[in-house]
This record gives sequence, structure tokens and C-alpha cells, in this order.
Amino acid sequence: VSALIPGPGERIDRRHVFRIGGISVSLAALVAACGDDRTGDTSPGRVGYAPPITDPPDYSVDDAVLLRTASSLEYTILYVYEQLVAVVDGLDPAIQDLLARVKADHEDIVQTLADLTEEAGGEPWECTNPWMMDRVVEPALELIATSDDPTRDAFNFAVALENLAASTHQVYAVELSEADLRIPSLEIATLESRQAAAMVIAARGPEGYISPAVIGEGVPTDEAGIPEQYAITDRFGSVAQTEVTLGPPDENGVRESFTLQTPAENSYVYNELEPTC
Amino acid sequence: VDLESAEPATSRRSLIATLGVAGLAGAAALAGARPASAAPYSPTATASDTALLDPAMRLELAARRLYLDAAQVLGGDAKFVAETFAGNHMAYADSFAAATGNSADAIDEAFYEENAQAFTTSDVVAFAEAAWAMENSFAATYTEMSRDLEAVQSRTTVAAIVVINARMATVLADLAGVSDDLDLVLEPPAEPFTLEEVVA
Repeated sequence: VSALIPGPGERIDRRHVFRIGGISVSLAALVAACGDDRTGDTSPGRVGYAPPITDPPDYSVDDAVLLRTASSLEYTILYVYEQLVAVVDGLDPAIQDLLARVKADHEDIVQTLADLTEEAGGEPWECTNPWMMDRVVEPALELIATSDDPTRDAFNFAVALENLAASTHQVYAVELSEADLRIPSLEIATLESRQAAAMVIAARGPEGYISPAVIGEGVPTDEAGIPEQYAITDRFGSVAQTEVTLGPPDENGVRESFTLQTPAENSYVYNELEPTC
Repeated sequence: VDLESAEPATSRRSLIATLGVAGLAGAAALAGARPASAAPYSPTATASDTALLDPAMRLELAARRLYLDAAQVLGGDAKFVAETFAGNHMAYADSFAAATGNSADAIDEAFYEENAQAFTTSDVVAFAEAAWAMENSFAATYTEMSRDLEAVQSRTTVAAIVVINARMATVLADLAGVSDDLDLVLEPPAEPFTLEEVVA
């Protein structure tokens, strides 16, 4: 360092200042890093307000948990259909018949899932999915009730939930450990795929048969800018997350979107969970 | 110039050249022996899975040809449906080829011949009824097959196909004009294919 200090009569130029300044900062950082009395939060810094992160519970996931979760999704769908009846009116009789049939099928499915849960050694779950209800369903229903087109939004939400249910059972048809549990799950996935497709066709006719995405083209939107629904959305059954756009536009013409994804650690109905209904 | 000292170097060069040519020839021979459309990665299916997926792959290729035949004589929505569903079945055959490592180049001729007449029609309803029955049978076949598949990847693939078979059948039910019959649409009668018999 002494070599950097100018001798008597030498001028201090800018280069000297940068060198001495740089060495001082480096030494200070080194000394600070070597300190052993640092305290405080070690998590990454956050800018702005965000809700605190909650870790998912550390419970085990077995066949019973998957089946209880599947049941919770079915009860959630049944709850949504009951709520939408109050919002939607003027439906075509053919669509009303279809919805009544779909609802009855979901009631049969919850019974099947309850039997399978007991077979897997679990306690059947007879309530909606708490995680989905808080984060998706209740806010979505509020938006649908105040929408500029409640019937359109109710239709889109119902189709999205049917697709989600089909995807969930498709996943469980692989994940469940016993074939005697997997096959009924695959049958339910098949039925709910038919339900979703039938709902779209009933509302849109041949225009709703096949998404252009299947042949690599973009999905068109309706006059309100909301993506159209299709009976066949992919060449293979997708289990990827999807978005549904609901509610009235804000002052910028932007509507709220909800991401729907197959249940995971944060939305499983663990065996330790107490009924919420 | 010491000519003798060059002799070992010439031998090494010859040896390397000979090995290089032999290696290239071997690679060329292997490439020639391998089917052109074989999947370029390792199979994921077990031997037991392959015994099920191979005949299913030939059925898928037959289904594709049936839809392509139909697309030749149909028009409008039905033509688009037939073309798209042909593409779907090709994708399923390819996925089985990828799982088994076998080439997707042999169709089930018997199945094709059995159904060719029903698909080569400009009558939309007749086409849709034949295709609807076929898709429901595919769905029933794969649902049963899923019980016996060993590899998770095999089960994953089949599950992803079954749900689209069901959606295709629902579209075909509408084309056939029976979408008001909710029992037919949502719980259609379906006989699974007996894969061994079809292949024989």
C-alpha cells in the first residue's frame, strides 16, 4: 500500500485516488464479511409489500390424500354449480339438461371417490377444497356476479373447472399406487373430459370442436378479448396450468385472470386435516 | 534421409487410417440396419409394456389411414375433424414408437380393411358413427391396458391419450347428430379392442 502513497513533492492524480479508494473499499468489505456477530433475517431482500410466505405442511402424501383431494375438487365443482344457478338465466333447455346431468354425474363421482378413499385406508372427505375456495372460487364467483356478461363468465369458469377436474384425475390415474384405484380415476378423467367437451359443443357448436392450438395456431378471442373455449384443446390430455379470465373490465379494459392448476402440496387434503364443513 | 526410421510412423498412420475407415463403415452399417423412423432415444417401456404398445401402435396407424381416407371424400367441418384426428392418431403412434423404440411404420392391415368401407364415405353421419365407435373402443382399450402397464411413462402416455379419445368421441357424437342423447355422449357403449386378435 505504501507504494501507492505519493512521496514528498509528488502530485496526487486521479489514478492514485482510484487505487487507494478501491483498496479501502475492498478491505472494508473483507473485514465486514469476516465478522461473526451478524444478526437479522437471512432470507433474500424483498421490495414492496408481499404477503408472508407460508411453507406447506410437512405431512405425508399417500393414496388416501390424493383421493381426498380429488373429492374436495368434486365438492368444489358442485358448490360452484349451485352458486352459478343464481347468476345465470335464459339458458337453452338443452344446456340446462346437460348441466343437470353433469351435476348428477359429479354427485356419483364423489360417492365413488369416498368408496375408494376407504379402500385406501383413509377417511372420505366431504367438503370443498379450502385452498381453492379461498384463492380462486370465492373471488371468481364475486367477479362473475358483477360481470358485464355473467353467462359467458359462468360458462368459461364451469368449463375450466371441468378441464381441471379431468386433468387432476388423469394425473392421479398414474400417481396412485394401486391399479384398483388408478383405473376408476382414469374412468373419471374420461367422463369429465366428455363433460367438458359436451359443454363447449352445446354452447358453441362446430366452431368449438377443435382448438387451433392443436394444429399449432393461436387461440382466438371473442369480441370481449377473452379466449374461446374448445372441446379438444390439445393432441394429448394436458395437465399444465390454465388461465380463466373473468369479471368486468377495469378502467383500462383489463379483466382479472385466475390460474388453475392440478392440486399440489399446498392444496392437498392431508389425512391430518379436519373437515371444514 | 533415414528411410527406416519412417517405417514405424507409416505403420501407425496406416493403422489409424484402417481403424478410422473400419469405424466409419461400422457406423454406416449400423445406421443402415436401423429403421429410418426409429425413435432417437432410449425406450422407456418394459418388455411387457412393449407387447401391449406395439399392437396399439399399429392400430393407431390404421386409424390414421382411415381418417385420411375419410378426409379425401368429406367436406367442411367433417373434413377438418378427419384431418385433425388423423394427426392425433399419428402422434399417438409416434409416442408408442418412442416408448418402445420400435419404428412406427407398420399398420394393422386387418383392422384397416375391416373399417375402410365405413370411413370412405361422404355421408357425414355414417362417417361420424363409425369414427365415434372406434374412438370409444380406443378409450376402453387404453383404460383396460393401463391396469397392466408397468412403466410410469407408459401409463402417463396412455392416460393422456384416453382423455382425448373421449373428447374426440364427443365431437363425433355431435357430428353424428346424437349430442342430445346424453347417455350416448357421456357413457357410450364401448368394446375394447382385443389387441392380439387384431394383430393376428
